[in-house]
Amino acid sequence: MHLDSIIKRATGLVLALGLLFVLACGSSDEAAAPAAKKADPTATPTTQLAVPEMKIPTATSTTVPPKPGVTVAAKPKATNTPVSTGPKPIYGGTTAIGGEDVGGDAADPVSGQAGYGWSGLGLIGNLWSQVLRFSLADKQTVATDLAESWSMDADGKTYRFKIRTGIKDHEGNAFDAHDVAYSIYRMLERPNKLSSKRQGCLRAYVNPVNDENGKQRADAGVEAISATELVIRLAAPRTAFVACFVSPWTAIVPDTYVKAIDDSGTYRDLSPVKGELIGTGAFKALKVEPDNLMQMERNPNYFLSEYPYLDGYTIYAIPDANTRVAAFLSGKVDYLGLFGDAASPADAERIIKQLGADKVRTPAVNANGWRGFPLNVMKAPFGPVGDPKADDLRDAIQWAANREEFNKLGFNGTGHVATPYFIGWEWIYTKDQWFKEYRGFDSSADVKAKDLADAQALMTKHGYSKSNPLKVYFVCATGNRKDCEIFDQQLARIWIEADLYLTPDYASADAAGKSGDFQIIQISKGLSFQDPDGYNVSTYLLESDGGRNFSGYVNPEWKKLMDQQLTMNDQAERAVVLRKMARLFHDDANMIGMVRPGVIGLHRSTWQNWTPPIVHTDSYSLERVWLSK
Amino acid sequence: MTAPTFFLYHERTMSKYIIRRLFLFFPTLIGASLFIFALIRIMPGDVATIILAGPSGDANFTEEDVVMLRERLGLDRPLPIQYLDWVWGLVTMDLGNSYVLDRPIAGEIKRQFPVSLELGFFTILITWLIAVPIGIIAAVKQDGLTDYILRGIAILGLAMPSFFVGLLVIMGLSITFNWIPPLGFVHLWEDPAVSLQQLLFPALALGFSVNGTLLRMTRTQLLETLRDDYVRTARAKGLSERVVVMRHAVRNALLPVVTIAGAQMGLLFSGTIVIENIFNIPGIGRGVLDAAFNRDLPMVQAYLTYFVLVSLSANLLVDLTYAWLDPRIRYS
Repeated sequence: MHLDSIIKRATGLVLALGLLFVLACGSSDEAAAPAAKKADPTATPTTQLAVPEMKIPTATSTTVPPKPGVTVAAKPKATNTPVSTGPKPIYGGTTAIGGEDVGGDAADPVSGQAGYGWSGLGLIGNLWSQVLRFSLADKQTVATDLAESWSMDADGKTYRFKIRTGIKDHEGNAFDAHDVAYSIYRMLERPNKLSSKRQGCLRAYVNPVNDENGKQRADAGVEAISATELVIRLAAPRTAFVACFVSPWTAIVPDTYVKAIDDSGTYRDLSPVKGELIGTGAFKALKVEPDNLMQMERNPNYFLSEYPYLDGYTIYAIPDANTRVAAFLSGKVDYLGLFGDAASPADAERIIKQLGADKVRTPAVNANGWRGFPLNVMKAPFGPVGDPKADDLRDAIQWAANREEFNKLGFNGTGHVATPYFIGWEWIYTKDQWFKEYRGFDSSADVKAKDLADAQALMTKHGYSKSNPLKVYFVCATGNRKDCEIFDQQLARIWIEADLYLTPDYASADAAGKSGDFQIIQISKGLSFQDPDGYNVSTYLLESDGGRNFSGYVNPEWKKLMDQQLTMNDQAERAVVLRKMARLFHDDANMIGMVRPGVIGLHRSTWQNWTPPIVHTDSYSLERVWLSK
Repeated sequence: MTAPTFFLYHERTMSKYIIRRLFLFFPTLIGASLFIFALIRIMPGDVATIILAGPSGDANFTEEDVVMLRERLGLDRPLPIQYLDWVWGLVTMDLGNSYVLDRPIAGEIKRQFPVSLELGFFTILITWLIAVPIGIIAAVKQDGLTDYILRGIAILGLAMPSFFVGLLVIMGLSITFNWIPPLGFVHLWEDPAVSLQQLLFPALALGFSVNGTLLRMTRTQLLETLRDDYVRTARAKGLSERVVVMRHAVRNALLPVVTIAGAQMGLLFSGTIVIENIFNIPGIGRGVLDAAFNRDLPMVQAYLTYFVLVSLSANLLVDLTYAWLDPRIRYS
């Protein structure tokens, strides 16, 4: 046999063996990075849930700041209630999460990118702490975090925080009130003016730090009085300040890197690949590989000694939705993140069918956003307010809009019907009261049929019909195209023919003189508590006040009530005023509130014998998910 | 003609051919760069406004913010200056920063390129290992049941886009075996066993359609060659059918297949855009899709240039290989 023939055969044999080896490796279950410890297969199923399961948290009086002069101190220990009723949970271990991305690309909490995402926050938010946060016990009320205690002055404009001592960041450096002050300063006045819109509510309420000459104002919005004392000064009393401040968006970063970046004049975001993602949170970043994975490990110096329960977790970037489901089915990940990472109801059903209802939980959670359609009430055909024809046309739309249909078509039915304010604000009205008091929101078949008939009658009264439709101009952000098309179909039922103009951003449309007769508005301002104060800033106030009210109309009586409720710290008294505001808001019908989106998060329910609690996205954090003690 | 003179002549004609091809290479690259630059600039919407407006387009910002950002991004300069600056950046590998990631683009490509190269290499290897032998078998067993089955598979490969095959593979694995390749990409040199598990399935999916073309090409070329006189002569000499096919016919039949394989490299790289997303491979394809979704225009611009460069280089390499293998090409 010739030598070249032997070499060729040997090469062929090696390649064939290599291929066989690869195929054989295919049955291995080892992951490249540390994988989750698997659940005990003998574990008793704890809960069986239908899809979707909904929990809408209700805001409680705990959103109220402490009475002037009263100091609220941190509770000595979290008192969470165990969720699991199965075998004794196993603490520690690592887990794996599948996300659309690892969230590291715009990881800086004050990212210059307006789109700093929720899923990123949920997954990597554990790096940081906040001054105040949601209670780990009920996930709704205010609790202290970096602050040991806090109080509000009698003027309702000054908040004082006592920052804990002995806090160390992930690199072991001392951390104090000066770090906190710099973080808040960065949210308020980032020198390049590219602060994330997520802290918009903070900027709306808190005084600027510097004057026009760049010198610190006497009434600076934030000031570290000492290493343990922090003061925040508001421009006016704002009840919603606390709601804004406990939002996970106000994550505090140590000033080690941010100060150096800002001092250098580059003002860039914190870089995940340069190892700048440090915080004081429960977990620290061990490995960050963009588009691939982010590995976290327990912070041994975490100031809340009883947390976290996990030793670590790895977030895997799985951009394709089908692959995320496949990763979940195969047990490569124990949890699918929220929003872009969430499963569709169809996928959730498929997973339950394959794994069994006892092996998976599918909590549906509220998204912290809103979809609505503001009408231009400053000119015909939808204005001015008070003009009988314009009032009728707006009423017709209010009645004909089918929120539940919008919810089903736009959000797979996981969204929630939006009233002038959110339906979850049961301290203003219960859901039934909302439906009874305000026409148009109830989408049950018989009610909606009557609403639609009456809406058509109003249109007929003004001479509109199928053959003679009202032609209007509808500006829609490209990202909301689907929502706009659904609403467009609903308008057609009352013979409104909308000329849909798609724009990547409203500023371009405004500049081109194409603001439209109505638009779509998508609001997500990083406000965690369902407080209308924060959302009204977006929906009814002028752009200069932090809202996007494209028509410029504000009901003067509503504005008066708005100012009045800002100084009210008793929620029961405040609710009375808010009801009046809701009535005005509805009757003006300058904003057709449609839906609050929802998402489905998937958990492997028996992970380490724990059944994860259903969490609201506001309080989503791995310190608590799965392992609430 | 003596042997050294022949080789000298051979080298000269090859050098001339290389120079001729390079003369075509650079003007094409410059033309493509101008086209890409213009394409990005004529897209609707101001980049600064798009960034400030955020993904939903409803973020608030002032005209001052727009001016500041345009200045920061260098968009306030005349277009020819922007173009020259960009071309100089290409030459010096300083492609600026990504708008969205705020990181150097060159660094991103440097990180992603080896990943895509591994996938591409693996795909080509698998393609050749599967398509060529099967093509040969199909030709040898012409019009038999085996041939029909193999041709059927080839047509299926041609008909099914790689992303669809990828989805079928990933869903099939998870539903049937409760298994998918390990998550968290590792390079071949870091952990070969894990890396091979991660690369095998995307390479198979990606190679499936390429396989179809190569298989059919190999079969057709081999059938033609098997009818040539020299093959008949070889048979008449009493050589075994295996020797006739493998030693005489296949070598010559594979020459045009090389050309097709080279041309398909461009297709292979475009295929990675979706396949890398499906199989969590953090390569160039994934970067392209992210950049396009995020409207990260400098990144898109850099990736397009990269694709042009890869395609042109692949074509150049194929042409040179072909010229080296077949002297008629370089003499023409």
